[in-house]
Amino acid sequence: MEGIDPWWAAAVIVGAPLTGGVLAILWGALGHVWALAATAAMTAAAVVATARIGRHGVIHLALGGWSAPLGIHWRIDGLGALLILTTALVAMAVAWFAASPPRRMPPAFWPPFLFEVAALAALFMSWDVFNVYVALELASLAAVTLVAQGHGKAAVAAALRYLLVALAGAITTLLGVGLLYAGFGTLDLSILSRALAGPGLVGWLALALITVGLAAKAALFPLHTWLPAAHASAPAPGSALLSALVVEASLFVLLRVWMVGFAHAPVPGPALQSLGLIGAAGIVWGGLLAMRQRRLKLLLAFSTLTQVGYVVMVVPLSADPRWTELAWQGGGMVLVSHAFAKAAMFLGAGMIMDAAGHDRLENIRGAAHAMPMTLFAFAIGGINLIGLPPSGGFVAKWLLIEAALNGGQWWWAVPLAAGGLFTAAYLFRAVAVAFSAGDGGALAAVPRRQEVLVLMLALASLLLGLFPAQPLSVMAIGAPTHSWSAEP
Amino acid sequence: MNAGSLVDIPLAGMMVWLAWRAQAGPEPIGAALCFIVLGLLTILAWLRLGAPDVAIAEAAVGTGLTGVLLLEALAAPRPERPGRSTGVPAARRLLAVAALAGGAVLVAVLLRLPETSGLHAAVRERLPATGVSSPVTGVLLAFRAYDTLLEIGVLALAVAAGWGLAGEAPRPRPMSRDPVLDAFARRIVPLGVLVAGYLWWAGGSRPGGAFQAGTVLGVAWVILILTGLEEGPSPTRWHGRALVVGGFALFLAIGLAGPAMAGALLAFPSEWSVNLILLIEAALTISIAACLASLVALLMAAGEPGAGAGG
Repeated sequence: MEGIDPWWAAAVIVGAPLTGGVLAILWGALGHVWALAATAAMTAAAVVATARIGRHGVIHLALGGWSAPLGIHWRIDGLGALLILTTALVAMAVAWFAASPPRRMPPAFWPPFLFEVAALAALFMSWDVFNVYVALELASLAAVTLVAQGHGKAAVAAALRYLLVALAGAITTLLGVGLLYAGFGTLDLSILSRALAGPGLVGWLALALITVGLAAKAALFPLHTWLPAAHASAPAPGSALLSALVVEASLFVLLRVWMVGFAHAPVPGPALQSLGLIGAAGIVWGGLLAMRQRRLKLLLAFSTLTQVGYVVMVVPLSADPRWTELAWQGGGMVLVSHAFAKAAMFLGAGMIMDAAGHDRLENIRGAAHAMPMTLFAFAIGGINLIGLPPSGGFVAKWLLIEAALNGGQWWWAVPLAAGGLFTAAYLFRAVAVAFSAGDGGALAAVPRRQEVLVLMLALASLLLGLFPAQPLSVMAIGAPTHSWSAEP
Repeated sequence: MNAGSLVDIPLAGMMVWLAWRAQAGPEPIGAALCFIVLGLLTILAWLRLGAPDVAIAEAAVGTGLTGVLLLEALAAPRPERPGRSTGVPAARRLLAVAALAGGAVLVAVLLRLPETSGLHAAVRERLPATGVSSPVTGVLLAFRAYDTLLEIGVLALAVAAGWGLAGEAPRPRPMSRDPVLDAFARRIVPLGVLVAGYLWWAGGSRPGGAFQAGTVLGVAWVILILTGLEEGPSPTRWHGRALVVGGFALFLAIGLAGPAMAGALLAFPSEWSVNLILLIEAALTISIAACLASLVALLMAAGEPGAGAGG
């Protein structure tokens, strides 16, 4: 592995899903074949890249050989590499799930699916704020298409609403990016970071605009209202990708803008605390609304709001530079483990829907008897979302709370802990109904292959909790450092 | 006051007024016409700002194609709406105040911007290495080729998404063959093709390039669709799909060969650089035209009575 040029790994990571997308447009009937091949190649490349980063540190590449500020840079740090690997693995499982007869997804599903995967990988690598905007556009268009492919007029309405929010978010983000270029003459994150040591009015306005734009795309409170309908309307494989990864990519970019782009700016404490407040509101509000849902997919969609809230907490919890790395690892662990768990749960919900013909909570009584493996996987995913040991979600929550207490910000430990209670309340209700005595025989049979895939995704989120040391040490590679408290 | 500001001040004033009319008018058709005229004035504004590349793109996409899409959408049968809702004036007023305040802050910041030349000097210095002499083409196809690749991907995906959602092949409604329109199309379309070819070739050294050429070619194609002389690229035929995605595919293939040929993704060997750029631009021109024609064809098909859940 030593001799492999990092270019090859990086080129395959983005190139494989893009090539698959082209082939899926040209030969749609074989869409599932292209998707499986592309995600398998991407997984292999992601493993190579992660191993290389583990040994030699961050991968830095100048596209076209043009160095910054003229050209665009890729920078794959530890967390970025793990998120690319997560994307590849989740996408491969979702593709396999979606390719399973008798409910194989139609040819139209595969181009947006593959372009979405490529856009996510591009976002996790990009080190250029304008390029981030372009990749976000590709991700949003593909996501809206996946939602619109859901069933009936409600899906079209949800997709249209999502499209309008995504466009408003994109324009706001672009305005901020434009201000950064106009004010500082560069789009490269490293160069911007140095220039933004004295951000002035231009820099602060740009940060506000980019934050609002990305918040809309990441469904941060109070810009979250589009998410539940959109994520619940998409076909199950689409929902899995959207809820597990698409929202997370915007969040990852948001963390990078604050913690890398503005790392040397004198970011005031109240700004950090208000971002924490937004995160806490999302945790509580998502939990409260999820408790009121009577449909499984909507319940899962609302629970994403809680998880999004945890990740935003990374920014205020990083205020004390001594605990920045801890908070970064905690946030990274939420991202990675939630991706696996939520993909498993949305696919599981899709199977219940296929078997029962609906996903109304009161009528899935006894589902566990008909499809025990799926409900077992669903429960494991739930353990992860609640943050119970031994899941990745537990490790994540532990690290975030530790960062809060060590950094003297005990008040953020309250919503972090309360989020788990809310999540437990509604997930226990759903699981209890499914496991209760009832007429499981009314359910249609589900493909065994799909059951196994869902279980494997759920187990991955559990493995992260059982063996957290290695992923956490990779996440620390290239983790951002800042000097917010310093004078400009 | 110099001669330039005699043009600029009325131009700016009219643009603001048209923008207001475009969203305040009671009738959709009036709003659409105001928006189209606003587009025409925007072309002049870009020319006054010394950005002919943007002006050409604005003329083709912002005004030409968007105008066609708007008018086509207005011509489609719409469900009966229960009167014009009086809405919530308080919320609207609040939004207007917020927008004005935001705009004022933005203007204040823009007026205080330091005089930076951005990356102009760096572009000028490295441009010879790309083989092209137009800085815009150098940025789009060499320095930031990766952005352009993804943008073309967005366009191809938009068409594929539209095809997927429209279900069956969109069949534009047959237009009544109007002899005047027919004669117009037969004269204007060859001219459009000629202009597109020139813009593609010119892109290497002066304002022009694949986006401008592609939109001009696309608009020519749209005229053929509107007059019923031709159809858009067909999603059910292999060559229709290849036309739409071919430019992206070629760009991607050349880009992926980069690590082997020139040591980096999307890098071109210096001796072939200018030829590869022109080749990619030629393919992009055709694909951009095909994408735009497909989008218009999709919209026309969706506007047909009895069409499925399209668009």
